[in-house]
Amino acid sequence: MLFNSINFLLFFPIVTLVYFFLPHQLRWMHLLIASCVFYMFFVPYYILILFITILIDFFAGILIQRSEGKQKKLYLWISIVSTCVVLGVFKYYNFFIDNVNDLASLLGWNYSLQALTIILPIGLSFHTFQSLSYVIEVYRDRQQAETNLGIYSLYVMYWPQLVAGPIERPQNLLHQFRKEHKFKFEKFYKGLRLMVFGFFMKLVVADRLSLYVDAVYNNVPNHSGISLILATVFFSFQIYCDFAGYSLIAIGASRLMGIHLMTNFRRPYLSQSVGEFWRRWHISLSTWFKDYLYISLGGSQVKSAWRRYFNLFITFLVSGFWHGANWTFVIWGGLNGFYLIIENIVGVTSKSKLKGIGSLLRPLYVYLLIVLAWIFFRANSLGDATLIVHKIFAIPGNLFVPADPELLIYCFVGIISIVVFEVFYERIYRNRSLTFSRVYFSNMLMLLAFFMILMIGVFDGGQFIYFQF
Amino acid sequence: MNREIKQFFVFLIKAIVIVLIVDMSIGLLFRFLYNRMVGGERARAHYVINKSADDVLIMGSSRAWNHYIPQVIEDSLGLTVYNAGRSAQSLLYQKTLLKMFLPRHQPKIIILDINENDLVFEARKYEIFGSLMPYYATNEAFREEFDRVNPQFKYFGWLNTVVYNSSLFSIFYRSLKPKEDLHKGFQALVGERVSRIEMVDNCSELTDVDPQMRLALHEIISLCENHNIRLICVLSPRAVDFKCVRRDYQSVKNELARKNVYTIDFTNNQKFRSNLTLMRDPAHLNGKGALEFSKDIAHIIKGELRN
Repeated sequence: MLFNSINFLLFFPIVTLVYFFLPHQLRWMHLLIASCVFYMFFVPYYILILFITILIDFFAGILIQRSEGKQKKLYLWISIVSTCVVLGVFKYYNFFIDNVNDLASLLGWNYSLQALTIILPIGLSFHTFQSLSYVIEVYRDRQQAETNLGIYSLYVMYWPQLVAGPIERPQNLLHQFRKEHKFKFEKFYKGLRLMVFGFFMKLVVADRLSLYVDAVYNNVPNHSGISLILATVFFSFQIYCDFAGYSLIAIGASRLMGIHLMTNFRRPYLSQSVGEFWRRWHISLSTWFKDYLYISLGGSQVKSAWRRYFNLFITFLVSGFWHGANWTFVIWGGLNGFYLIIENIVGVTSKSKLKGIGSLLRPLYVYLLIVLAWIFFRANSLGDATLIVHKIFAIPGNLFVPADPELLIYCFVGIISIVVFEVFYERIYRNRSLTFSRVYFSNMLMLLAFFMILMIGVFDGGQFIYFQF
Repeated sequence: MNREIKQFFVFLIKAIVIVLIVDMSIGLLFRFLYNRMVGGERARAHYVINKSADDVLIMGSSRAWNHYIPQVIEDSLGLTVYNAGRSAQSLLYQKTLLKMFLPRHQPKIIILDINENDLVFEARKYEIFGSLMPYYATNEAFREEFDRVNPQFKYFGWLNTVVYNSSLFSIFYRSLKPKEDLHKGFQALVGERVSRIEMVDNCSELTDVDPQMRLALHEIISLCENHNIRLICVLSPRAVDFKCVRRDYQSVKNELARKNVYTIDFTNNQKFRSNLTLMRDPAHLNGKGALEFSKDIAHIIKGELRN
């Protein structure tokens, strides 16, 4: 089910209302059923895949807790491999086959492997990672194995974050399903506010920008360098508002029911370094890779600096590959890893604060680097990506103006609203204490966002970009 | 009642009241501004729906808007003419527009500019149809058509603001800075961007006929018949050379022939194909081309009306 659909407008109030009316003991069952319904709006029978991974990791968790030494490690690896196999088949098999076929034709071998005609289960990478974090945490003795299959299933399937995160840790989420949550107006209000701003980001900014971005990026040869620059800048805000918007709706919807999900974005485009950007962007995934891959590789606790850079680079390459089975994503990940290594070598960190104009220029430098990498993230193919880079640096040309030029005005209105709000929030708002004027101001903003959604929101039911991952 | 629940209900009531008041105020403001608009596509549609009393109405997409000069056709036919063409719009829009103004005014002739791909399915045709949304509350014909295409919209259609979605700036702009409609709806395109006849050979990639679009064409034909309006369909010039008989082109031609609609086909007209200075781009004539085309089309229609 999409958050921006009529179905959700019915689903959400019904689920929330029933949740508060039910006795505490039955609430987890209610949420589990709601999560199944939510998931089955996509491809219903794919829920079986989800059940298989749930069963594997549930029993693996119990076995890991009961064992010691090599056997414990064995159960962990069985769980990791079997969970990853599901991800591998659905997400990476065709990519692997395509590359083997390309290599075979390059070497003049006369055979080709058959690709699978399957649709990627929605949000597969997200709940796979959430399951993995559970078994790893149990292995590291930082989490007790869950003995209630229903509660564990809810941990993997909890509907607000089922298809696009935030990717939760068991320590944060599991215990909340057992706790009794009474209706609190403050939580309701804060949750609602997050949801309204989430919808604003998605419908007013991201979906509007996508109209221009798609028109340009899906027809690269026919567009000029200047149009590609604009489309890339637009995409940088589209992806941010699409994904951060989804996260806000998820966090808000959950908070309404009293369940706290982790923050996923903290105004990333205001970062003072690429390193800081990655501490503010998709925080649940960045910390996942840091906790379970980077640190497992040795992290920064290695003797040689080159080994540390290698760990960093590998982490970002894998992160790129996680996003999609395409070389464009791998290059995107690699580029970000490269930026971080250079920053490490040069000594640019968010702590090395600059004053005056320097502090204003630093976010701009970070933005330019990040936006360059976004080209590879959005391009449909490696060929398109290289053509875009070539055109951007070589051929300015004429700007593509869509049939309805008003579209561009709304694009800029959306971007300006986000930038102004984020700068204001970062520099002034978040440091103030809760006063009447702040609540009043917050209500005004919520009202403004609501009417902007009605008047310049895009209601074509556009999918959230991260669903495909 | 629990204090938290009470707080919730107070908030809910306050929020509903404020939303309704703000929605009504913004809706009234925009309705006022909408009625004041002069110039631009929305104002032209508003004129056709509410005011036009012209004998001949030209309908179609941008190719109608930029190809037919009303004054030239008026001089030739001795009838008043208005150009109601609108960029990127489909047969669905034309049918709905027709249904919206017919109860008030029945022109003598409708010239409908047809595109080769008019019967082909394209999602954008349904999306852009929403440009008539400000009439959702006031025009039953539009509401009926729009609800059929977007059944979920009726849950939001009661909001006064949502019907002005995505049209704020043009409404503000055209109401605060009016632009006189000097050419009775027509707008000339400037430039000569065609250097050669474009070859089209993607015949096999064409999608099938959209039943909704075919139905719209049928309804346009029967609406004209029922209101004694002479319907003339025109395929205006293109700087395109089709390597094969395209399925979409043929399906439009067949449909018009089957319904006995008088059709003028300029697709392969040599006058325009051999003089590319008349074209602005492969699908559109420039001002000079529009003048030539309007003279030609007026002459043909005049001959046809005599018969």
